[in-house]
Amino acid sequence: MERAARVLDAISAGIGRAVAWTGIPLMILAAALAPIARWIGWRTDIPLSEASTAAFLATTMATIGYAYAAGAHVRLDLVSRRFSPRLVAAVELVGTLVILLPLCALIVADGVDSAWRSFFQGERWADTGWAVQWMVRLWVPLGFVLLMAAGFAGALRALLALIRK
Amino acid sequence: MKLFLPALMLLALGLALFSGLPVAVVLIAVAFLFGGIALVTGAMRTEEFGAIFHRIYGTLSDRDEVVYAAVPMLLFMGAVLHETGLAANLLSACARIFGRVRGGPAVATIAVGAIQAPAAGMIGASTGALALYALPALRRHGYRSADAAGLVAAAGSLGAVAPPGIMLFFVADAIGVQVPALFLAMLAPLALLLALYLAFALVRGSQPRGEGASPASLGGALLATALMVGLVALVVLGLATLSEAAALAAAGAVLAGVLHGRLSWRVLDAALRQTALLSAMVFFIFVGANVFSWVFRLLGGAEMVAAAARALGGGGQAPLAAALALVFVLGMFLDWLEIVVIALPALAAALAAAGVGGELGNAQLAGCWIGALFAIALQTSFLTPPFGYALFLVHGATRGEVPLAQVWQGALPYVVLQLLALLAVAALPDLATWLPAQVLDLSIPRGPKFSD
Repeated sequence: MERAARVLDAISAGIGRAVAWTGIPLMILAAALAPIARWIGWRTDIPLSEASTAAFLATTMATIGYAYAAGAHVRLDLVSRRFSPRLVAAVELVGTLVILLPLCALIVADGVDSAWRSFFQGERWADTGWAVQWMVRLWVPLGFVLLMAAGFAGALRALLALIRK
Repeated sequence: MKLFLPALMLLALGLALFSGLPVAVVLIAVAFLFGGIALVTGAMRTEEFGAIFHRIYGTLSDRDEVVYAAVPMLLFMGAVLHETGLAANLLSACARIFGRVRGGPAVATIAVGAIQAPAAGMIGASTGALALYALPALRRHGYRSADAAGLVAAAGSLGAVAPPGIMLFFVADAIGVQVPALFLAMLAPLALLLALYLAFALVRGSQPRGEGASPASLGGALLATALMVGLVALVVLGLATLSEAAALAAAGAVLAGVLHGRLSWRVLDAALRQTALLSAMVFFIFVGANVFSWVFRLLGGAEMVAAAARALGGGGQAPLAAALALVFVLGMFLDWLEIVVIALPALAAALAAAGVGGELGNAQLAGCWIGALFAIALQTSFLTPPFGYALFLVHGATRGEVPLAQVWQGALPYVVLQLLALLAVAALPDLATWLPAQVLDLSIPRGPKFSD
């Protein structure tokens, strides 16, 4: 079970890191070139700002699960740090199963639907008219699938902690 | 009866947050729960419930102004400056420049605190780093531990209210004021704060102890300063959007690292990791707060908060004072991010409804003034015993060597200085509004986000 948790964490963290390590430099490069291209009056049909926004959205979505696995999301532990380890594990387990996973499933279902509609309606980028916005929209369900993986890993660990007493 | 549901929603949020589950998850969960209740009782239509989903994608892909991407870029710039050691260079250079004058080490600490804006407030590491570099130097110059610790906490928090700080970015967004306008609005209040801090440093100053300036570290200091100033200037002059300017500054930081021979794969990897984790954390909460606010507003939450503001009456002064006091108290328990993205939009909308800042004649100018006040109140709350965020950071960075009680004692004078500045800006709105009114065209109104 511990190994399953580690594999799930590795999946969400690995994909998140891969996307962030390309997405962040890409978003900076695109947004830095945009004003330079404008100042020197270069061709304006390069979708730099669109690409930067897309890289931002993809990076943010893909790293939510990574941050979950790394324990980087803010939790208010004002009260819960006085809980016993067993109570913390129980809250984590119930919270993940009852709240996090169903919530993610809802968002994934709606996100896939929205990307699907974007694909069929041919939603376009404003400055080039390329009908590729569905690929950007697809990052929302992808990100929440990764969050589900990380959440599931956390639930497994909590369960282990409860069983081991 | 109509105000019952939003009040219950706030109560549920308050209780659920204490479960220790991630704040963003709690926000979205409470929103869905009350959205579901409203759907069943008929207070919300099915399309409105469906729109909750759109908030998740829509929040991050704001097509009109591509400003959110600026946040990871600013974080990346701060992380690169930090990881390459250029930020540390900055401090040693400042210490050398000011080392010869009375109170010099304190002045250097304050200067560095203000310059490392984009990283400060967001990354506890920047206050932590300041504590690591500056505390030993201050002690060597004969400062008492308590005074030195208080100074470092105050200087570290100063970056939060200095442009282009990340906190200001989210405050501007929450209030519905243009980000460049708030950057400009903060300059005079920041100068006032700096003047108060510096005066205090001179009064309490130690004996000067001269050290020669080394050209290498001076270069690094000038570079870091130039990046911040250049970024703000590009945005204010309308030459680049906020994210474009942030991208140029981030690229500049990488270039500076290369030129100083400090950039390695290890440094890049660490900077990217910090950026990815922090940015994911920030935007997950941001999305969660947006989803929460959307349901809260549909349930009549805005009317509830506005009614509370009206009940205070007092022609604008009382609601403003109450809102600032609330932010200040929340700041003792919560991180600034939660306060800014959850409470501030509602408070700003309520203040606007109560006509606060109406005498300034322009919603943007009123927003600048209110935003500046909120920013200073938040920064003050970092420094206020017993739960001030910066105090714990300094205490933690010294591995507990300086007891919390000493940090509290050292920070108290700065809390007084902060309150003086807050009162000054409250009494003289011109301090915040004059500069943006001179430089920017604020005739294009952009109403509070909370109510659009």
